[in-house]
Amino acid sequence: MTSEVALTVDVLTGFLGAGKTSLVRRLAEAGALADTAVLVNEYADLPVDQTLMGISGIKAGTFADGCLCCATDGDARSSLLQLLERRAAGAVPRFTRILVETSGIADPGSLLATLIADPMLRPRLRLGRVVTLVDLCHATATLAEHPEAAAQIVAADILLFTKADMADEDETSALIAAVGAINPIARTHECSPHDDINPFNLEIHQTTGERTLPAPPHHEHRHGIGSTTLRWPAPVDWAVFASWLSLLLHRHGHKILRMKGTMTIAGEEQHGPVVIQSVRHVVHMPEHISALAESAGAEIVVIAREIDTALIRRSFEAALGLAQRNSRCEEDHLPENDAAIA
Amino acid sequence: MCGFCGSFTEHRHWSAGPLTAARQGAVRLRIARTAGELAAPAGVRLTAWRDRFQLTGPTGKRELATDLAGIWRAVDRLGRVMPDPLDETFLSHLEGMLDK
Repeated sequence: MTSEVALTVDVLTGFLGAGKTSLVRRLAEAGALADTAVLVNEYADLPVDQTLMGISGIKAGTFADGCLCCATDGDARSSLLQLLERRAAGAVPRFTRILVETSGIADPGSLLATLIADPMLRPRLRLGRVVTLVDLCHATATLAEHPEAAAQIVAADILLFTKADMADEDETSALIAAVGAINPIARTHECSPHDDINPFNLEIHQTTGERTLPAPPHHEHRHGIGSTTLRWPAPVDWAVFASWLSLLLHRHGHKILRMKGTMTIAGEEQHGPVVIQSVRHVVHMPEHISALAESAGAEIVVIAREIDTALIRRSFEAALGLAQRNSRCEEDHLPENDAAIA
Repeated sequence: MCGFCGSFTEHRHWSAGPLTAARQGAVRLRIARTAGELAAPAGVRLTAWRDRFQLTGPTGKRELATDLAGIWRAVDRLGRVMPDPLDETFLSHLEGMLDK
């Protein structure tokens, strides 16, 4: 494959009219997309110079600050591969980051799963932040009518509420609460057209104490989406957790929309907590983070559809209870080498 | 080569991600034991075998798996039932083991 450092891919999503293109335009004008290749479904509204280049049949151009902008026909995987090949061949400016702006009516779940798991993309790309724009003026109706809008909210690391200057204050409060019930994982911000916030610069690995929206212990929402928080007070036996989670996602991955949280692994405490993240049946490669976790054990938010999330919590606690029992019985007597036991 | 599953590809199962190399062998043995306990209601036995996992179904039929994803696919093929961690019977079995 390649020995190069993986490029970060940030994702911008949000329903039609939420302000995605306006945000991209503003970031480009502010110079925040230098060294970035922007992949969009339609870039007719963007101020790009389209005469500079073409990428094997897909439209491409550059912003004034040199940022490369490419249109995709919706097949993000092939567009990304094509972009990477052109970069490797020196046919396009040598960008160091990619921003994918999804279609307004897309469920970004499949894109995220592709970025995490595709064998061609995985060694070369690393999923960064998923920013979802939520239009405060229209999101209530949009959410009621379009499950894709809920899927976009579920996918978010950062929720940016747009058009705050035009929205009714009471409706805004109710909408923010409803959105928080769908995705208690994300950080949230409100913005108006003239705010100069760059959501891709925001920290996303916050502890729960910094979360803007309250995370209910168990909450059901329309579209059958509910969330719960899995908590364990002590460092976790990784073998038990991995066995349990892999079975859960094997059986119910299509309904476990997202998981995200931190966990301290028993025996690896000196390396700090790891971030646990999944999108449906696909799990991110867990990575240690330098930040201190709020919990000495595990705290993981689960967003699921059409599943009694209390059952997930019960199953998690039973599995980790099993680990405790096993530890009491024999943890100190395990062999330390790879000897076969068959 | 993946130090966890021994395969000569760049693919590593996520369960190998956060572990230091020195602990991966021991954790593989623990996975064999834990996944075996979760697979027991299906009648499937599981052991660590070299750098793989060996599964034996209730009829004696055997399969090898390289990682947890492969384990659960094999359990579905070999077992009497497909284990479901959210199923009431399975949960009762799991919770019952805590008292033993």
